[in-house]
This record gives sequence, C-alpha cells and structure tokens, in this order.
Amino acid sequence: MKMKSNDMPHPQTKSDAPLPSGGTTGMLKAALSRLGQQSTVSMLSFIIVAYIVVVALISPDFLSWATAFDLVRSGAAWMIVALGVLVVMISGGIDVSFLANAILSAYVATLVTKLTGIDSLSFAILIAIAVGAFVGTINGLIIHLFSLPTLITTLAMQGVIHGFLMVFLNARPITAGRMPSSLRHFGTDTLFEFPSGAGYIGLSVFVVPLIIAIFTTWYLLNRTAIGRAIYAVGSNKVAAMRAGVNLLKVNLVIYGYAGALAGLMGLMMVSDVRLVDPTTLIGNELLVLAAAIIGGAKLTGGAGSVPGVLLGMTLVTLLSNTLVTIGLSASWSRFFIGFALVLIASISHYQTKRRNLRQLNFENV
Amino acid sequence: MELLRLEGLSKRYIGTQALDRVDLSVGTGEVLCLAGANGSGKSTLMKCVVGAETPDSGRIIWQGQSFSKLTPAQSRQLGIDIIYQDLSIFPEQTVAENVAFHAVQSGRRGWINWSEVDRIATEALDKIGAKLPLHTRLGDLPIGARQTTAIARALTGDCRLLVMDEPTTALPSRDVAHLLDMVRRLKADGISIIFISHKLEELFDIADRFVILRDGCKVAEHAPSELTSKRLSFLMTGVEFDSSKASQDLPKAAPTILSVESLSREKQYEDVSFSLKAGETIGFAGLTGAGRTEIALSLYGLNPPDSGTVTVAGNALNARSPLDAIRAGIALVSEDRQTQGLFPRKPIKENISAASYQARSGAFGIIPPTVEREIGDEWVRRVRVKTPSSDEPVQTLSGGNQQKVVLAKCLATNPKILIMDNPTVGIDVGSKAEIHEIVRDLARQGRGIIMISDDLEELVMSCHRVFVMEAGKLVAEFSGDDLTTSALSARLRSEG
Amino acid sequence: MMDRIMNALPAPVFRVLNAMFGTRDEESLAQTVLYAMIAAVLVLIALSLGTSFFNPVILQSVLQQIPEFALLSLAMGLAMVTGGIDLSVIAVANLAGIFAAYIMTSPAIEAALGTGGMIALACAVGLFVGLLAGLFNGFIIVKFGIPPLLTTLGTMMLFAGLGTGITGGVGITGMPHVYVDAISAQLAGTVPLSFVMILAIFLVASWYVKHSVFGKSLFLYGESNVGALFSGIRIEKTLITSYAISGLLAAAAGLIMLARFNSMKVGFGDTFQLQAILVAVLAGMDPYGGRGRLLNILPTVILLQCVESAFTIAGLSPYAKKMIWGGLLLLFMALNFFFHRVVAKQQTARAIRQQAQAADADTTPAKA
Repeated sequence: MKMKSNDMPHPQTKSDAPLPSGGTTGMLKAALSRLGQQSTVSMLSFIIVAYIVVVALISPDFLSWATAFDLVRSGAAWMIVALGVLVVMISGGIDVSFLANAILSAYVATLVTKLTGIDSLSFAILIAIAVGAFVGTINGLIIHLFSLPTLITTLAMQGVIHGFLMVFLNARPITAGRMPSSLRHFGTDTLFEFPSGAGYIGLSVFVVPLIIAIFTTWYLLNRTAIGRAIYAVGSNKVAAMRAGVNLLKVNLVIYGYAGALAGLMGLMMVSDVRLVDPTTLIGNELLVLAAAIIGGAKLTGGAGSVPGVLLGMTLVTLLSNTLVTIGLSASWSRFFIGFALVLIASISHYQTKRRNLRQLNFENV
Repeated sequence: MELLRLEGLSKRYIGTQALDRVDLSVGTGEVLCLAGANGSGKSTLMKCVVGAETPDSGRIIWQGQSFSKLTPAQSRQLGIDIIYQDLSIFPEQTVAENVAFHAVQSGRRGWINWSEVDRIATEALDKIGAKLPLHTRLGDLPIGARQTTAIARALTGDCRLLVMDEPTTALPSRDVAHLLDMVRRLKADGISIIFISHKLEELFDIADRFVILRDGCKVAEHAPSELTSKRLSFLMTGVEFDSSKASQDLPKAAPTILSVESLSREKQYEDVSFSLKAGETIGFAGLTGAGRTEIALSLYGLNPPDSGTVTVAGNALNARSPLDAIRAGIALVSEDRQTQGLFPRKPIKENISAASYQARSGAFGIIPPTVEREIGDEWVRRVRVKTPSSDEPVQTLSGGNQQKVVLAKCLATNPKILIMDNPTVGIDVGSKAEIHEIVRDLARQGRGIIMISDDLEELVMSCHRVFVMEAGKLVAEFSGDDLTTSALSARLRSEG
Repeated sequence: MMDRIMNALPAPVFRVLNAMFGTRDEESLAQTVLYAMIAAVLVLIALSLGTSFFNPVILQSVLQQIPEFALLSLAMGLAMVTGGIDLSVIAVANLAGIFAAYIMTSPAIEAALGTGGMIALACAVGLFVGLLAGLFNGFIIVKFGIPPLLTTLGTMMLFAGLGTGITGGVGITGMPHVYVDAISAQLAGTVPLSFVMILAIFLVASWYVKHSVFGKSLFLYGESNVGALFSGIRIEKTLITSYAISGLLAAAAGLIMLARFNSMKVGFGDTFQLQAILVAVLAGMDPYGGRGRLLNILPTVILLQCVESAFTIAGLSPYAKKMIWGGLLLLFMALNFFFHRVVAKQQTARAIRQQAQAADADTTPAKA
C-alpha cells in the first residue's frame, strides 16, 4: 500500500486486519478486532436472541406471555436506574451510590405519605424523585468542587447516605400492612389482563414509568444541548471546557438526573416487594454498572446509548432470572454476568488500544 | 481601528514564567503573526485571550471593554474563536456534531434539531471548500480531516477575531497553500486573525504585522517589510546564527555503529536505509508526520517496523521494547518532554535514574541505596542542571533545565547511540547552547547521534549529514559544503 | 471555583501552612496530617473512654482484629500506587477461603495427610487461587488495556460468582480446631502472633518497594505511564506482578477470615471494600497514582480499628460507622485537593527564588 500520511483510510477498515504474528495469539487478535467492529446493539441483540432460543429449546414453556410480562415487571425498575447510570457513564464518571439513594428516597417518600396522610401515588413519586435528585445533586457538587475521582466519591456517599438513613432517620422496615395503599396497588396493578391457563396474566403498570424514563433519557441525551455537552465532556473534557461548556451545570444535571431516576426506581422496588426494608438493595450496584458497560457505555466516557443499555440490562435480567430454566443453579448468574462484562470490555478496549498504539498514542499502556 | 488590546499579561506555571508582562494589540481586519520559538509563550498568551487560561495579572481590552480574565463562553460571545494546536475536538462524536458544537451549545433553545446541525456543518464546511462524511465518528478520520473540522467549527459563530495556533505544522505544503488562501478570504471579510507559528517564511506575504515573543516576553514588533528571515530568527532565538559548522571532521577509521536497511512500516515510512558512524551526528529534516519520529520510535522499540533490519555495532537488533533498545545502547530524548520524558512531581535524582534502575540492580532486583543519589548528583553536575539539590521535584525547574534532566536520564544509561527528537524545543537560549555543547562533547567521545529537528540552523550547526524526509521516504541527503540552511529550506519548500 | 477560593486565601494563611508543614511534597504533607489525626483521635478516645478503652484486653483485641483488614488495605494500596484500584480483593479473599475450606473439611484429605498436612495443603491452595486470580486481573489489564477499575469490577463479579456457584451460596463450616485457634495465638503472652506477622509483612513490603526495581517501576508508572514506558521500564511485568501480589495478599486475608469465622462464604468481609479504600486514601496513597507510603497503611488500619472498637464500647450502631467512614473519605479527598494547591504554591515560590538566585550567580552567560 502506498504511503500517504494525510489520506489514511479509516483505521478500522480491513487494512488493519492482516496481522504479522501467527499462531493462536494471532488468530485471537484477529478475531477480537473483527468482533470489535460490530456495533454493540446488533451484537447484543444477537446474543440475547441466541440465549432465548437456547433456553426455549431446553424448556419450551419459557416462550410465553407470562414469562415476558414477568421479566418486564422484575426488570423495569432496574432498567430505569440503569438509564441514570448510563448518563453518568457517558460523562466519563461512575456512580455506585444510586441504590443507597433509591432506598433513602423510597423510605422518605413512604414516610411522608404516611405522615401527611396524602395517600396518593403521584405525590409519593414526586417526593421520591425530589429526594433522589437532591442527593444526586450533592454528589455532583462534591465531585465538581474538589475534582475527585467519581468512584471513590460515590462509594463514600453510599456509606454516608445509608448511614444517614439508618442513624438519623432511625429507619425500620415498613411492612405491607403499614404501607400506604396507593403504593401497594402500584406494585400489583396491571395495564391489561387476559386469562391464561389457571389464572390471569397482565402487564404491570411499571411499564409506564419505564417508557417515560426511556423517552426522557433518550430526549435528554440526543435532543438537548446539555445532553450533547454530557457526551462532549466524556469524549474530551479539556476540549469541552475550552468550548465553554459549564462543567458545574453538566455535573449537577448528570448526577441530579441519575438521582431522580434512582428515587423513582426505589419507589417501584418497594411497591413491588411490598416492603420498605432499609437494608435491602445495596450491594447490587455492580449488576447495574455491568449492564451499562455490556450495553456499550465506556468507562472513559463519550459513548453509550439508550438502546444499548436496555439490551445490556435485558441480558443481565435474563441471566439473573432464567439460569434455573436451563438447569443451572441461580447462584451462577453473577459468574456469567461477570464473564460477559470482562469479555465485552476486552473486545472494545483491545480495539482502542491497538488503534492508539498504531497512531503512536501511548496513553493507555 | 483597534479590536483587541492586551496590557501587561503575566502567567506562571510552577517552574516556568510562561508570560512576562506582554502587551499586544490587534486591529480590525488585520492579520497579526505571533512568532516565537516553541515554548516562548505564544500559545499561553492566546489561551488567556480565549479564556482557556487565567492570567496572573494584566488586562484584556476588547473594543474598549476591559477584563482581567475571560471565560471561554464570554470570549466566544465577544466574537473571539480559536483553532487549537491539538485541535480540541471530540473524537467520539460525528463530524457534523463537532462542527456544529458551538452553535448547538450557544443556541438559545435548549433542544436540538439534527437536520439543522447537518445544515450548519455543511454550510461551514462549504465556506472553506471542504467535503467530509458528516456522520462518521471523527476519531476514525485522519488528522487532516480533524483539522478541517476544527477550522469549520471556529467559523460557525459570529467570529470577529480568529486565533490559529500552529495550523501548518502537520500539513503538507499544498494544504498549507489552501489554508493561507482561506486566511486571505477571512481577512477580506473583515475578520482579524492572529496566526501563531514558528515557521514564518510562508507568512511574509499574508501578514500585516509580526510580533515576536521570546521566553515569555515581547521582544519586537515589525511590519513584514522591515524583516528578513535571518533577522526574524535572531529575534526569536536571541542569538546571531553562526553558519560555521561546529561539528568536527570524522576520523576516517570510525566504525559504523548503526545501520538501518530498508526499514518499512505501513502508512508511516517506507524503505528507509541509512548508517551512522561512531562520533557522527546525522540529522533528519521534514514535516511533522513525514515519518521522522516514527522511525525514531521504531529504533527505540515502540513502533515495530513491518520489514527491514537494524544492526547495532554488528549485531542485529529487533527491539520490542525500550528496554531492549536501552540494553543495545540506544537512548531517546523524546519530543514531548512533559509526558514522555519526565515524572514532574518526582525528585530530579529519580528522574535521572529512571532508565538506569534495571542495569544497576542486584539480586532480587534490589537497588543499592546510594545509587540514586550517585547518579543524580553526578549528572546534575555533568549537564549543569541549575538546582540547589537533586532532591528538588523536577517540575520546579525551568524548561531548559528540565530538558537537561531528560538528557541526563538518557546519558546515565551510557548509550552508544543517542536519538534526539527536537531536543531544544521550548527552552531558553542559554540552555539551548549548553545542550548543543553537550551533544558535541558526546560526538567527540565517539557516540553516534541522530538529531530530528524542525530548527534547520540547529541541524546545520550540529550535524555532519542531514537527511530530508518526505511522506515516509528519505528524499535527499546534504553534507559537507552543501549543508546549509538555505539549501535545506529550499528542499523542504519544494515538496508536495 | 475552588481555585478562586484558594487564590483568595490571604498570604499569611499560606505562610502559616508552610510553617506548620514545612514540606516539599504532598507525600510528607499527607503524612503529617495523618499522624496529627492519629494523635487527635487517640486523645479524644482517652478523654471520652479513658481506661475502659486503654486497657490491655481492649488493646490486645484491637491488634487481634486487624490482620485481614490490614492485608486487604495493603492490596488496595498497592493497586493505588499504579493509579489503579482493585475492587476484586474481597471476592478473591472469599474464593481463596472457599477453596481452603473445602480442603480443610474433607475427611479423605485429612486421612491421607494428617491434620497438619491438610491445613498446609489448604493454605497453599488458597494462596495459589489468590495468585491465579491476581495474575488474571493483571493479564487482562495489561494485554487488553482495560482500565483497572473496569477489569476488577468484572473479575469481582466473576470470582464472587464462581464462589457462589461452587458453594451454591451456602457457608462451609467446621474447620479444624488447630487452625481456628491459631488466630488467637500470642507471642510471649502479650502481642498477638498474627499482628507480629502482619508487621513483618508490612516492613518487608515497604522496604522492598522502596529499594527495588519493582517498587521504583510501580511508582514511576503511577506518576506517568507514558514516562515510564519511554524510560524503559518493564510495565507489563510490573503491573502483572503487582496485581498478582494483591491477589496473594487478598488470599492470605481470606485464610485469616476463614480462621476467624470458622466458616466461609461469598459476602464475608464485604464491609472491608469501602474501608480498604478509605484506609489507602487516609494513609496518603494518591488515587491518581505515584504517591504514598505503604508503611503508613498499618497505623491507619490500627487507627480505624481503635475507632471501631471505641464505637462498639460506646454502643454506636454499625451504620453510624459506615456513615462516618464515608464522611471521612470525602473529607480527606477534599483535603488532598488543598494539599496539591498548597504544595504547588510553595514550589512556585521556591522556583522563583531559586531562578532569581541562579540568574544572579550566573554572571557569565553561556556562549552559543
């Protein structure tokens, strides 16, 4: 190939494919770089469809409306919180405080609903979202003011939020009987039902907040100036600052929005299990992060999409809930999710590393 | 009519006074060339103007309105825009979005119309006569396309003053001509331009005025008619260039210590062959991206060549890592001192010892406790680093002394071959002379030196032979009486 | 914004700070603050609890309780030196403990090797599992260029998932008495043997890191990865070794936890995750890499254990601790932010002074 330094073809095209080294390493490298060229969304869709086919072959009962509706009901809240995590990750940050935030918001919302006697679902949702957004904003403020590493900051915040809930609010579990009836209904109501086998199956109302959250997040990220600023900050922070992006505003929006979604998710979770237990949820943050990363969000920021994270969460939900169906103990679910995470991260980062080295950019050695 | 005036701008980074009370003024529709060697403070000055840096003191006066500092958003609102040397683009986003970024962010509506984005991008690209795939991820496109994108972006707003920071460095000459045409067109539209460069011959016919910076101070201001390139280079460097070559004749029997045979690397360089004798200094001239740094990195084990052979002192060398190269007796003073050469917060002695730990360690990789101090103190003395102690963090040193530390780090490994990539970029005249003296000493001791430089005088002064590289190939070799700056610059200009 | 506040601080404040810390870098500044804080906390405990804390029984139990905590913190600190983080330490500890527990509860192996042989085999296998896990982390980070945070996030799920999968999430109990009792052995009837061993590990580790190619490479890589590459430092070897050592340390912590609880399952010791990061940051390890003294981790661990015991004596809820740890972590990272500014200001002042002196002394400028 002729040298023309200024007219290089796209580094991702096939001209990079023939590799000098032979043997298995060479084949592995070639395979990895080919895989890295697939779009995350199509790759994930393929994996999910393949998985469903395998499960359906082993257990034909799996393919039913009941299973689908059940997955939607158990996955909806998690998808909502994953959308918040996606927004944070696009900016190049990471958040592990959201579940502590979710349970705090849900607890406060339930408490306020009970204390004021306003047994209204929209009121409870409003409070949960407000508390979540407030706590999230504090995250954003701290990270911005002291330019701190986001993981350690939000890890510390997780401790502070949870500690605050247990110590200052002196939180005790609120059982179904003492929960406001609007919340109990929220967990069991369906949009529509139809008879199936022995009883009725129906689509949970959780679908409504889920669709609203999907649309809002998509709109925020793709149709607003601040959304594009979030991508810009993740893509090249220095350039974004030079371009006059207000980092404080971006940070507050990112973490505030993630917090708001966490609040909503918290309320859905307590309505679903009909119990407000301040000690649950925490410890599952990594599942959500894994879903976002599997869905194509990069730890280094700038990339990630709403469809990607929804598919990522779908895969995680499937792996968490359906291993039993194919005859594996549910205790293996984390192993497979971890495996998927490492595999997908390897593919995308290996691609970047190779491209950078080729361009004599040594930053990720 | 005066558009912008700067009064007494100063800025300091720990060990370096980047700007020292600089005054400057730009008129409407004027093309001002800000000249100066690398590191003379040109970029810092402009970053203060566009709000990317905050000056320590001084005033920025825009059409009579006085500011002590600006934010990026403020300066853009006033009508000041900049094309950064590093382009400052968003690699993960598409071309269209990159071009329209400012328009989107400063738009009064908070939401986006993507067809509007495409329209803005197409319009801006049309304005400079460029065609790019709008919806490709910018990080996947070559450097030229990225620069075009950055220029187009700067023109989307209501720009009154455009700053261009070293826009020609990475461009082949036909693109440079195109760029200069564009500058003329913008000037005709009444837009003022500050053009930053250290290679100024090409600018004599478009500039209305030259301002020269040296070591953070403004040293002169001239109309182009009052300047010759010789005068300009004196103003930039502060020394009268002495065309007599300081390098001495090689002994006839000097052995060849490095020979490179038809070395190639796809898309970087092709069929490169040369040899180097003990005591000889050879130079490489050419544009950024012509393949000079790429070859240096290949010899240093960081950019494996696709084919060809490298022989060091009779032994074939296939360096897969810098350690292999160091063990074979090759050291590299890299171009990017801050990220590649130094550990800024670490003490001087650790910086100097950094490449020697492996060689000086004993059993279990244990380093005798005195090694660091010995190496540090010895080399601080030998390369004359100006510091009270080798325990000082290296970031407290001035640029010139930092560069001596990098050089000392390489020399401490006792190399047979020293590769230097733009070794005197951004340092003061005194240190520059000292470094040249050290290099001559090294050659006298029988070491081979490869010098890559954009500073032709430096090459002529230090080298026995100079190669010109163009688009990955060695296209010319100068030596003896043929080796003059005018010959080199004529050859470089004739490219493309 | 904080820059503005820092710049607005009047000069006298900086002079006072200079006088207080009289220092040339962040490392010593962080160390001074750490020791000041240890002193303050000890005084505070002494004033509020007196001899109900400062008595041999409590002090001995403090030392008794730190080994696994100290080892996990050291593993975390080691990762932070390179600017990374190791989120998988707890999972590795659990996994190593689970393997060891299986061997120690197997009558067949006991019959074949005797109790002593069985325990030795179990420990060896546990450490080997930790080593493998660490090597795996290091390999992924180096070969695929995945940031350590993401790698260890993934492998944490992988290892914990493996542990849960093997055990079905059920604890393995009933270790041999000899093994369980070993944890409470005392040296000369006063100092816990386990603490002496930890002390030895810390002394050796921090000495070796200070005086070896490996240690130098670790810190230089943390300070600037590209700089390290260009200085001929063996980056891949250094990083893989470092994560392998983290894995070994985590496995050792797992073996100690196994003895302490006489049981092992995934999830044991989860609270150490936050605490190990807290300790590393408090001890002055720079989360961005290249700075910190490993030896300072040990006093920090002791400090935290003292506070923890004091809390227990004072009857505070475990969640109060969690909150205080989180708050402390935030506070210290904010403080670090100020340390950077203070040190940069000091260095600027010194550079101006020295360059002025050099200019005076240098009356004969070099000739070109």
